[in-house]
Amino acid sequence: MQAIHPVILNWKFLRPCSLLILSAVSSLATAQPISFINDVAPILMTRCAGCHGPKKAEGGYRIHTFKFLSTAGDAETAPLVAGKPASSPLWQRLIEADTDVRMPQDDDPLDAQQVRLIEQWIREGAVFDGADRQVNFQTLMPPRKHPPAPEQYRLPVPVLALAFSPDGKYLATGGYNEVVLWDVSSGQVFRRIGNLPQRIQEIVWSGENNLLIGGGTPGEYGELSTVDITTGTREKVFGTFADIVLAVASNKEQNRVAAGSAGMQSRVYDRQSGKMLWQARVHSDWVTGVAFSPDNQFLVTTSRDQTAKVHEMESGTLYTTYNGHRKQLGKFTGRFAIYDITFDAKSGSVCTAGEGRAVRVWNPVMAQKENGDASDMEGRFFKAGHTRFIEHGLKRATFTLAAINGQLFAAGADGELRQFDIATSQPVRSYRGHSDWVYSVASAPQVNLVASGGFDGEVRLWDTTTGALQRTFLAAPGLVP
Amino acid sequence: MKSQRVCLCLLVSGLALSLLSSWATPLHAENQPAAVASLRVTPANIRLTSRRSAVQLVISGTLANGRQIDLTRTARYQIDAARLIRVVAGRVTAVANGETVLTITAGDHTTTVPVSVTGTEHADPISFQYETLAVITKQGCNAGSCHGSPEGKGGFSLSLFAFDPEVDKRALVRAGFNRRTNVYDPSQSLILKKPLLRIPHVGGKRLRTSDVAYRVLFDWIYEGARDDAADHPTCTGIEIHPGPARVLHAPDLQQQISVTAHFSDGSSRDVTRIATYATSHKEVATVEDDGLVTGLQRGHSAITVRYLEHLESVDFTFCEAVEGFQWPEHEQPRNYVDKLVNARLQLLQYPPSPLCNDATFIRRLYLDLTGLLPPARDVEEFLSDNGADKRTVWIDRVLGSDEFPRFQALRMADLLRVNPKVLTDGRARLFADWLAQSMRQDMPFDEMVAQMLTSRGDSKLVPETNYFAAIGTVQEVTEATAQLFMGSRIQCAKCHNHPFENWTQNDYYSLGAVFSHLTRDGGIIRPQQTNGMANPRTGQRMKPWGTVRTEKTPRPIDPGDDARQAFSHWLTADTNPFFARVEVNRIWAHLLGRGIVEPVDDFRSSNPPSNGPLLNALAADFVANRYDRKSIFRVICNSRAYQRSTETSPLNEQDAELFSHQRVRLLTAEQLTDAIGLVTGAVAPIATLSQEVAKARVAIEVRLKQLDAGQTAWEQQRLAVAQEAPFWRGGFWESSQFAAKNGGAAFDAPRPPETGMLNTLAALDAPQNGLKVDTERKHADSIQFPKTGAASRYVYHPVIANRDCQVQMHVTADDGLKAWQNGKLVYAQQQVTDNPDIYLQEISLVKGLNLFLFKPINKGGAYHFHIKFTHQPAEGEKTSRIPDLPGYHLGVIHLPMKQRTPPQSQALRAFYYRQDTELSELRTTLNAEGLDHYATQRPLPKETMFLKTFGQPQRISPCVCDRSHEPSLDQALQLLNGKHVFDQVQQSLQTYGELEPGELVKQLYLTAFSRHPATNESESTAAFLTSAKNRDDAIRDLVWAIINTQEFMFQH
Repeated sequence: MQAIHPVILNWKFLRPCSLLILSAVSSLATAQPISFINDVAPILMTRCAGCHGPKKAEGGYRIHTFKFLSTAGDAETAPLVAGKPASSPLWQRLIEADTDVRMPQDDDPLDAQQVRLIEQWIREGAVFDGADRQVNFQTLMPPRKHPPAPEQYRLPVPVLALAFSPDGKYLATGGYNEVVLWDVSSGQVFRRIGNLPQRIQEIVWSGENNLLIGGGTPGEYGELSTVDITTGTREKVFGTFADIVLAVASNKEQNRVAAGSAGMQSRVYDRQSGKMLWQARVHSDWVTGVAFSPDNQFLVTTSRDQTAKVHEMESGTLYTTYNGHRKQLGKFTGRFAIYDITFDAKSGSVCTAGEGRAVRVWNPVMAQKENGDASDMEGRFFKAGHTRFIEHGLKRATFTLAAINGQLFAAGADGELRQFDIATSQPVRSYRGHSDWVYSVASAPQVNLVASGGFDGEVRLWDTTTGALQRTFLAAPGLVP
Repeated sequence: MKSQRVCLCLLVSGLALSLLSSWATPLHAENQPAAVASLRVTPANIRLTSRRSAVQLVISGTLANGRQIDLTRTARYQIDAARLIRVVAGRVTAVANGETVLTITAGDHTTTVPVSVTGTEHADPISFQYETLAVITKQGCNAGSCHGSPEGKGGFSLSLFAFDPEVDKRALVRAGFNRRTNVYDPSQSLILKKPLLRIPHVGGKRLRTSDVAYRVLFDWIYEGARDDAADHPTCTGIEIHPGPARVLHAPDLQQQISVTAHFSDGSSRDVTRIATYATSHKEVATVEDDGLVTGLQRGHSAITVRYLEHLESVDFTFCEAVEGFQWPEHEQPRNYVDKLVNARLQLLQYPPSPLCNDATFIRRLYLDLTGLLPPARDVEEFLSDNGADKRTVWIDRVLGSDEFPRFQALRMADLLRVNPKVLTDGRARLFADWLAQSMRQDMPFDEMVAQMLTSRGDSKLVPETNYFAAIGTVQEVTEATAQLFMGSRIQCAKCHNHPFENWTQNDYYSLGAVFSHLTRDGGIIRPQQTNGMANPRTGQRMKPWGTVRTEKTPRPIDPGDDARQAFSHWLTADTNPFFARVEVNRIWAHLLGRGIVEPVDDFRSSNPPSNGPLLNALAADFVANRYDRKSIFRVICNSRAYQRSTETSPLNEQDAELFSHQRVRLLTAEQLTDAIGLVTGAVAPIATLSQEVAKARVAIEVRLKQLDAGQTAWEQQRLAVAQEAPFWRGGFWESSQFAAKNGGAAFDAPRPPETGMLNTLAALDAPQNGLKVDTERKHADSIQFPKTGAASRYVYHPVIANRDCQVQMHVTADDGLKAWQNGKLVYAQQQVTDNPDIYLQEISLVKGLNLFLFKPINKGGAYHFHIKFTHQPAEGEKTSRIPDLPGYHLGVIHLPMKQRTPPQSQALRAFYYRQDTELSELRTTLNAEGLDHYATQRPLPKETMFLKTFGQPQRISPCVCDRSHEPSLDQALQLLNGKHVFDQVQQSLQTYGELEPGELVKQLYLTAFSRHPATNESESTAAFLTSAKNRDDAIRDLVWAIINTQEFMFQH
């Protein structure tokens, strides 16, 4: 049993790790100087920062900024002596024979390649090639190079992102390190674009040939980037985040893009120059949704912290907080995490949903007025508010929303896709068939289609005029069921 | 391994040096001082039924001297050439299908075990519920302080110890957009990277790649992070080898444990490596992740094994030879208590301390049994008694005193929360007196508890109903009952399965269902039809705990039964695993200063008794003696274990729980107060008071008899008054609040009036109606509702007319009101207006019953209404008089005696008694002139600063921990110069002022220390008194100094 362990059989799945080794080897082999930021910092962040990082400082020592890294901890010995690895405890502790002294303690040692790389970096003078000695390495490290997508899927992965091309001919699905474009008419793979982030959380079709994607590696890395589908390559990375990007959006004019991450940050970039216009950290939990208002006045972000925040689009200034998901009075009381947001272009209303039995339809300006001022505190609780509640009756969470032409599509943990008329709040149609949770939905009114993607990797295409299921396929190329 | 042993050795203090060599070298059977006499292998045959199946063997040897030794890690294992299995450290794993034999050799002994291997050709996927969740528990992920806390940690929330697999499955796989598991590349899963510290984790390093847990989690994710098939067999329990107890002798202090889980389809699986282990005494034993137990020093420790919600413990005792240990010759057991205490002491080699001297004994005995210092006269008598069995004689004498039941009642009253602030209107006194009386009359404990648990009636009249009246909610009653009589703290199981006991959440609500049907409106305890109690997590309605004992066989509880009856049968049955053990343990703890199980109300397998056989024997004795508490006090007091000195020897000073010596204990708050009172003479000696008390008691009995005889005449008189008037009014019956689902409309139609007043009173009063009546409201004409809910209630009000007559109904209401008379709407106002006319309504009363029904119409806030009826007497007619008793009782006295229900009779009688001034004066006398001066003799405590400082309990919990034993600076200050001590010392002149110095010192020592002063004490004290300039000051100083000695403050 031990001998045929999956790790060994499937070593190729461990690519991020081997990639790291490869880059190190290349540096060593070509005798180029070691880059701290590109080569050393990633090792430190994965193997050392758990105990010596922003959250913990064992032995009074941290390594997540260069200033910390080169400052002695409780031991009061300089951790680094440039040019002398043997006198640098930072390296010495990695090769100690005594496991009580060796780092990482109580864990597997660094592999020989990594140890050698750090040794050489010190020998070369322990040079810091980053921009700022006092900034977390995470923000200094360049965007990651991602491994290629699996040639053949062994298991389906959840379809977290879906997007139709503007002409409705193609459907993009988020895969593992890739985006797959499907020909809607045949259900066949049209193109696979690999070397993308591990998880693709959201895809937005941006112009004819560009995709805006958000994703990353949960718990450690997030990225907002664009993909050129004609060349099949990542074109531009707007920025990286400390945790996975859960939501991206583009405004109608395609000159602003936004992203929200599980690291609680929301950012807006200029689409053309790639310049970051602003960033905000106003949520106390994951940012799960971002959406521009059709009039370009606001960016609204939603979060698992049960609030939606309305920012002024150009400045990022917080305009108001919407608390309709944590009501204490009325019919839809309770405290609910929010998972998705969409703007109804027709009415200018925001639709937000998450846990709880109803989608909230509301207006940022009205929400601001209702919030009132502090003196209004008492009365505020008794106000009915302008929010409309579209009750879907689903007790579990709603994960995904899409609004188009006054129609709202919502789906979540009961596998059912529901269509509502936003103006009347009335249900229009239910699309039943998924046997697992639905995480993503996209609609293409020009071809009367709506697509939904499930946890089990299944994508379903539905005809919005008849409600009929048009096609089902597994978004996992090469998978033999 | 070797270095670890050396390490362990360094940890062990006090181990004989000779042990070092055996610690430092691996154990070999050949090296044992005694040869192995026989081998036993568990299990006796090995069946490996799947690719991953494994069996942990436990090889036990019995040595020539009868001792047990674990040979699992030292035995030699031989497999045959086919190599179908692999064996490492006694763990057998499958390689290929077939039948084979495993040969095991230890020393000169060889044994063989048949092995069959099947099913290795099939896939053997990880089970989510039975492996993944087990290792998540093992790594501590779902502990209460981590992701198992109600809010989780860092946005990731698991159920506590995996008690809710549905929640865990969602959290691990689907929640957070599939953030935490990565089936495509398992090593990229957050649930692995975080605990491995590949990325920062606030919880720190929780997993190593070498852990079994890593393998299980990795493989489970690799296989798709799937749940088990719906028909996966469920785990029915776990079995541990060896168990339930194991005694190991140095140098062989290691033991491999094996854990087998049994499943509903009859299969079983070895879970030794994925079960979770904990030790109760870290300094005595450690246990490793693979179930290897290592003793560190002599003592005992429970090793608790958890596998999902199943918990079992093995009680380990570790023995080693102690240099210089010798069992004292004179130490002969007096009774079974001594035999069992001594057996344990001999096993663990603690020599017992000798008996204490007579003076110490008499002081200890009086303080423990009566709470008071022994009177000087008794001390002198006891000390000069030369009888061989004088201690036994005096134990019986003190047990027979009236102070004994009173002091024990105080202790019970503490736990039963007899608090006058809660049990108002004399309820507390009633209950407390009942407790003392039950103790005085030697009421069997099972009977007493059964009476409380099944009590019903008005808590002002039926003393034992105050058990329920004292406690607010169903949950609290459930928890208190479990803690008091089952020694189980089940509070945790309210929200989730108990983390350290085998109580599940369903058990909690099943116990709750026993009490959920009680109503307590107006302090009247009434059982209603039971419908079980719902587990709020699953919505499942739990049936009440217990079974109904019928003539022949038990049967399940029906909705019509009073579930409390069945529960009480179950609880007080002789076979109940808790009841007798908990109570004898409480008595033991009271007399010895520490329970055999400690804390006394925390019985669980992971908190084993320090002497199990002793606890069992006491419990068996208690059952055999029909639950007579006094007999247990007697047997313990007569044991040498109780009578031992508090002095220790170097060989037993380390012992804290085996009772090799008595414990020095600070007097409790009440004991200390009384002791100071007695020494200073500030409270009168008890002997002089007993007579007054007895006199008052007799007088009360006489008066009660007189009153009983006069009740009929008293009733007739009131009936006559009622019949003279044109009409009279009964009480107000209030409905309890209606469920919201009925809405408002349901109340607009009146309930049909019943026929005839006499029937109606009974009907209104019937428990199933759930109507509340205030039996004491004298002029029954107004009703006050609380802030919410007036609109969802209604009120019945019977008015009895002796003839047809016209009356005016005056209405005062905070808002609208509707009224019906015999079902006909006679008054309706939607709201308050300024027009005074609408508050006056002409009503025609018909002869007989006029049943009024009032329905408040309330827009919000508190609501109050007032109804008055006036009658214009016809010419020459007398104006009517209102009888001087509440309408409710007036209704009752219209009923013939036989038709009255017990609560009606009880309430009327109590009202009647209260009318009598002579009786109430006598009762005041009894309480004031009685033993209430003594803090230890009054079950309702005074609340003084002094008592509070010394840890008097507040009576707000059923836990003994409500009484604080923590010494504090405040206590020292109170004794040195507190007001209480100062005031009391002032009074000592009256007691000692007239005495000669010699006599004074003698009396003072006899009272305070229960002994004669030594010659030097006597001389120096006398010299101090005679040389003092101011004799009065000197006496006060002397008494003050005595109070502040350790000998006084402590009992020895």
